[in-house]
Amino acid sequence: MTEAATPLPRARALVTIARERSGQGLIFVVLLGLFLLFSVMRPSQFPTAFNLRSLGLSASVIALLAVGQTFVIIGGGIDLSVGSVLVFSGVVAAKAINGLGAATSLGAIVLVGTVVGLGAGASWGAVNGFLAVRGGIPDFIVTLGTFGMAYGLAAVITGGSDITTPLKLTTKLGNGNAFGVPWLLLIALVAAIVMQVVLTATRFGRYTYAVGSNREAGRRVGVKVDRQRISLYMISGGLAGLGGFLALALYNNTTIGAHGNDNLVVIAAVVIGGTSLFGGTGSVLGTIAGVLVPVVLQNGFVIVGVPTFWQPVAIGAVLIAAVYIDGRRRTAAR
Amino acid sequence: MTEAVQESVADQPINKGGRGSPLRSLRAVLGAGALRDSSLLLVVAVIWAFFYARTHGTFLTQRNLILLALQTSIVALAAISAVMLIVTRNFDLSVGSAVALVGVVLATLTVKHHVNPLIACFAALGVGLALGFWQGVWVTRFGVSSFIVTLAGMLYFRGMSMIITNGSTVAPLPGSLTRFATGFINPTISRSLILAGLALFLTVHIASARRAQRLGVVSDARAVVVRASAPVLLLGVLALWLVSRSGMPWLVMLVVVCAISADLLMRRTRFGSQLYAIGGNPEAARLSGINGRRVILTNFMIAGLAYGITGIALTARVSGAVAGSAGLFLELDAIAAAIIGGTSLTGGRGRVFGALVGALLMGSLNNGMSLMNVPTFYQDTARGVVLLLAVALDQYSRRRVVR
Amino acid sequence: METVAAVDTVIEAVDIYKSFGRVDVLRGVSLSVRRREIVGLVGDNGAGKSTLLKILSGVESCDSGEIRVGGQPVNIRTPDDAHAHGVETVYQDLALAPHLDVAANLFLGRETPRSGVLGKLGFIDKKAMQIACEEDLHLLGLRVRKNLATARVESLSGGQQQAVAVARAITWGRRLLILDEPTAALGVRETKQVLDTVRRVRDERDLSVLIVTHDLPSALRICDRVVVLRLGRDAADFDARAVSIDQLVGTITGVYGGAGERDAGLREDEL
Repeated sequence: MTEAATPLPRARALVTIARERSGQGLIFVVLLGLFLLFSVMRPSQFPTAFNLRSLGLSASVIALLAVGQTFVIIGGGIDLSVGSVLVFSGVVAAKAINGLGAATSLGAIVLVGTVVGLGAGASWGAVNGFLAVRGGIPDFIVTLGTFGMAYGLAAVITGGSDITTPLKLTTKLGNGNAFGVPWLLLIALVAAIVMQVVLTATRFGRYTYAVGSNREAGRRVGVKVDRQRISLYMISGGLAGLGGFLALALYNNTTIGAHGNDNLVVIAAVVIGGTSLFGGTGSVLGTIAGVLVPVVLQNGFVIVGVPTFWQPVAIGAVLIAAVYIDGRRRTAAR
Repeated sequence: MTEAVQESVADQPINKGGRGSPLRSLRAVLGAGALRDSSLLLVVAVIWAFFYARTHGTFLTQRNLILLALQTSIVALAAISAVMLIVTRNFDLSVGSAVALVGVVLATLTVKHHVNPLIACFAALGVGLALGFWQGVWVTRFGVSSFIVTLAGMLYFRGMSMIITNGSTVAPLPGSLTRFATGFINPTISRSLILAGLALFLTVHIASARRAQRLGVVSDARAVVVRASAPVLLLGVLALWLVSRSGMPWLVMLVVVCAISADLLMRRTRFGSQLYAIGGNPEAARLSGINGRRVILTNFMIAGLAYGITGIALTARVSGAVAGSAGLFLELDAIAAAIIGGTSLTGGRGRVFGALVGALLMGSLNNGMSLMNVPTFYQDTARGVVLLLAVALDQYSRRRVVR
Repeated sequence: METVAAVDTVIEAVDIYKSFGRVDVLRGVSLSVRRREIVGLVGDNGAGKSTLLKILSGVESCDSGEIRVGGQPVNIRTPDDAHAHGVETVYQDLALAPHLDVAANLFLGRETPRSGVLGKLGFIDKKAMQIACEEDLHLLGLRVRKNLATARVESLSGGQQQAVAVARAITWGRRLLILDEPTAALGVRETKQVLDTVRRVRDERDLSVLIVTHDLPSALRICDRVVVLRLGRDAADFDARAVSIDQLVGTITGVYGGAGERDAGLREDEL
């Protein structure tokens, strides 16, 4: 009798768990569905190694920005400056690389570019964090301000025209492969995995959730809330800086004018990926899916032959749907 | 004896804030709520003086200031609705794309289908209203945060504009429309309008100050009137000088009318006080019987009306619709203008006229730096710095008042 | 007698002053809590109860005065300092992170590191914390639901959330437990549960308890001693068994004289 009765509650518990997790899972289902759809519609064009490669390449730089943004948003903040920080860091890194001389080895170029890019980006992050946390200025405004400043300074440094970087950087790193996988995609993947582990398995990650969930509670149990929040902006800036260097490698120049919209694209990706704009919840894995959905849509639309203008319409629809379903799930859980 | 000492001790703290160093009185000026708009005007005046000196006087010519007013008008229109939304803790990131879409509708109707311009304008207003309503429904009925709804709107409104026009520019608009946006009101009529406006303002102001004195709210009505109307009179004189040659641009008239209507709506009506109540404390507003959903929906529909007006103005001013770039970054400029003008991102605080001054401040920077031939990228940097400084100053002065 | 009292005193606040801007909230408060003692802190709104509590728990620091732990003067400037001296607080708003699970909240700020190199790198041992959390809740009799350790705090009822906050304070507290209005948001049954737990813990774990409350009947039922704050000073100090609610109310409202009464307080009689 009792044995017969147990499966029912267990099934019910499973349903509950499924419902609780479905918000995160749903976006992966959408991603898979889009992937299958385009594969079925254009089997000879969409699921090819060549196309997947270009998919991965176009997602990788944005993915870095989105991973950093995920940390900031989970911690209850927002960073609108990322696109300009990417441009600025790319410009500074390009200057540094070009200053090395033509005979410099690729290894040295990559090392200098990475360090300079990361450093420049993290510095902007520190500025953002300091002004927002210590200065008490809303971070929306701080990062909107540094968005303009970083972009302007980048253009001042270059005199307004793009700087070209050594070709071997693009052929070897930007378009190069490691173990058959594009370098950039590999770097973005490693960064995403590392950051996901940091988020879920370390004290730093836990404090990130805590300051986004209830800042005052964090303070009262002795979490160094200010330091934590400043670090989050620095991570976002640093990853944007790394993205700046990788964008150099990918496009062979500084692409100053091409990142004005990155901040909103990135925030949309983070939100599509299930991270709450109010802080306290979210994951890097979801963000990666949130980055891929628009990229797959765009790529698929091009291959299927839908006018590219439809792409923002589709992304907008996915964005609202994702947030709406997430909200429904949360009210249902209460 | 002891009692006397205690009394003086008790008095001391109250005096502490009143008198003191010049720095403290500067803080007092910055902090006084009624004067905040004026202190921002002071910042604008400093910027104007700077540009006057650096452009050998070109900046402060009638011609340039009229141009500045025209350049500022589009951001000012968008900023008015931004203030109303931010006051209720809502965001609008879609205004730039919505304005582009409205413009596309207007241009397509008049240029391609030869619809009567007046009817096309009403259609464009209707489209704007519908966009506002649509977003409002998502925010109020489906509970999706306005940040997301309007971020998505920003994406697909732009996409729809591109789809309708297939990415190409639709131009030129019929002359009747462009004449409205680039034309001037006859100088004599302009002057009488300004004078009438000033007279009306003073009458209303003196009457309300008198009433306040009668009710014992203020002790000296004359001082209140002088203090509050001095900047207005100054602006009036400036305006009289500006319109003396060619008159007032219709577009500026439109901004003034919209701003006054919005200001009256926000400060003199029940709806307005409900906006502030919801923004200040949504839960308290709900408990006191305010139908938050309906108010916010109306709020978004007013924003939709603003899309319509701004879209018509922008499209008419440039005599065509450019789906890809019209109104690009307008949302950020509008929000920045609102915040520079003292609107609080956390809701419950904000004035339409502050936002106008905020828009004027940013417009002055753009205009002045262009006159000085500053490369555009320096302008971006400078704008970022000014935005940060303005908000930091505002935060600082507000913190002083609270303490 | 004097020395015994000193050794026996777990924590003492002596002559504490604190003002916010022009408002003097605390004007020379003194308070001491002895070992295994449950002290109630009562007073009207604005009497300075919560400010005193915040000073003891390190959220605010005092303008002047001294805090002694075990007779030694100590500096308590941050919550970390208070924790280091074995003082734990259950705040009225509970200070829980709603998006984190119960185990994470229980260990927030004091996570168990993984062993070895990983631990040095900041990795935390979630499994160990979950098990420890389940055990703690079980020991405290607070295990209100199965698999509580992995439930998100926002999915719990108000009473359950309170239980988590209490459990956290008990788990880490070594000397003093401060409870801020522990029963304000609870029903009668839950209130009893919390108070029972507090009393049991006092006995089992050798803790002292300071309860800030408005609820005079509960205070009298559970406390050994009740201290009345009035206008920023300790106005009276009663043996909980020998005082009536009317007397308490009278002292709180000032009907029975002002701050002068503390010198003629009932403690002397009792000793």
